[in-house]
Amino acid sequence: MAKKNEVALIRRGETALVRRADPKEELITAVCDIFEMPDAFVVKLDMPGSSKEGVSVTVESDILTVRGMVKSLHRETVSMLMREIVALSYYRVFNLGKGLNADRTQAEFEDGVLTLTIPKADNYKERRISIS
Amino acid sequence: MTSSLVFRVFGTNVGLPKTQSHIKTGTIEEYLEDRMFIRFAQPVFRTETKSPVESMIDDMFPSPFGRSSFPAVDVVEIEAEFELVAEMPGLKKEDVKISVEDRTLTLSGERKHSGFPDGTKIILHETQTHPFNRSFELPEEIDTNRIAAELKDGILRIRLPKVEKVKPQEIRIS
Repeated sequence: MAKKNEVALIRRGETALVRRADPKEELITAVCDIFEMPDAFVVKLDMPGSSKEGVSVTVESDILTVRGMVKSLHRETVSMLMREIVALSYYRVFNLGKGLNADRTQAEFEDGVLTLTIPKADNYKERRISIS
Repeated sequence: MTSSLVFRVFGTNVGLPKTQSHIKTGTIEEYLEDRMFIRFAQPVFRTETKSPVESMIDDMFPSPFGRSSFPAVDVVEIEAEFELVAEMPGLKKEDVKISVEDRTLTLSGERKHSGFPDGTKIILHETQTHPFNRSFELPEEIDTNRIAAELKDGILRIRLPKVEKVKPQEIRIS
């Protein structure tokens, strides 16, 4: 797969088991929305039950990793009458292409949603491929 | 939660709505049995909108337009009260309406996306943004006047206190 310098890509998913730190750790994929703005990409990940302190965002070369730890929703001594919430920690990996300023990513956590703003680099441009 | 569930989630859930992550691995019989148990084990807090069979069908064939029963809800019983916990990421206090009528508690509202300038392109949209409406039948023993709710970090907690039992009164002999 050829990577052109000027193409920015945030590929869908890219969630991988191999990057799990602890084999016992149970994680679920955080659902997300991605928007493209004139000067940045905005990624919004749903992480209900996590907290500002429990979220970590790391960038390692082209890989952006998001984790959101979830503390137990209920006290130990309760009886469950209905259970639908999968209260596991969140995890998602994005493969960032070139053309993004990932180092200047801004993160904000509000109402259980993590918002990442990844600015485009100055040399970012969309590459059109003409059909011959 | 078994590791196979996690594998299932990771193995196939990439990019799909979250409703998929509730599916467990195993045979269909095991799955159905599990569902049946959950449904019939809850005589209180029955959701009114769907019959068990309908819910089961919805769970087996998730809608491509998102989760069929949004929000996901847990109900627990703590000594003197029940607590209903609902996942509501991205919703503000003003976006959620909780109403109690007779013995029916209804959660309704809509998640609003705003604050993006014109010309914003949507690259990926996985979250649920449809209006929702979900009802629960409350058990008799709840004191509907003392229901309290709190929304924090995308988790809505509704406290449903039980009616205080009348303490036996001791009458002294004068």
